[in-house]
Amino acid sequence: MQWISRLEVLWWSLFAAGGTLAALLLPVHIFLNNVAAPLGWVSLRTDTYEMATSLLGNPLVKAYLIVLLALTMYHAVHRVRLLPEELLLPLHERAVGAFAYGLATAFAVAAIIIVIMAS
Amino acid sequence: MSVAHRPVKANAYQRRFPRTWWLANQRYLLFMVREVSSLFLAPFAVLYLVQIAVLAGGPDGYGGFIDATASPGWIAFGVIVLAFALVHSVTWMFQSASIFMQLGMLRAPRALLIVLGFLAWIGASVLVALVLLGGE
Repeated sequence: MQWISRLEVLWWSLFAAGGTLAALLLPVHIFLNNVAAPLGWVSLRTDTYEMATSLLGNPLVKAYLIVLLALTMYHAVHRVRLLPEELLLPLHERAVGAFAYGLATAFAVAAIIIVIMAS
Repeated sequence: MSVAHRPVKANAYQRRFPRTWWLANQRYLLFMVREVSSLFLAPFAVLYLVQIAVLAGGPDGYGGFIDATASPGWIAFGVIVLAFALVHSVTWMFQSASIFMQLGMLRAPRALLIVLGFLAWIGASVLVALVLLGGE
């Protein structure tokens, strides 16, 4: 699993890009989608099937969602890789890394397929 | 003539830490909260993708999903994830400013970089809200 170390620059770039995007964009998404709309405080353009498919029909929205979701996952799994070491858990860092980045890549591929096929 | 080589692996003293080292003081605890905060972003990303995937099931399936989001469990999940997302955002702004300064990428006071980070956060949030708000 030498490739985990060899691709360190790539993992760090994805981690940093994902961390920045998540910091700038996720709180408002979570607040609106998971708190404000369910409580009835606001109406969103994702509340109904017709409006959601119309919004998702925009290629820019599709690209935005794919990048946001995929990079957020790469950011999260990078911390998953480092956490066992920080908590002094006896886990092999490269094995955890291979699992974590594999999971994030599978998620990214799923995000591309699902978002493109959604509408 | 003999040549001295440094040992390949130094048998140096390594200090042992307890696994609960991050509970030793407030700074370590804040560091660990920052680290863990990122993990809570992953389930949101998964559920958001599930919500998009449900669209493929047609109006009935999507309507049922949106109705289910009004449940107390969904809202509690949202509040918890939002709290960690806010921790992530605030700590990321401070951390990014420090990294920019250490790398010498930007020659500006740290306070200014932090303020610019927060302004970018507010601007991005307003843009997303303008796109998403406006339902029936």
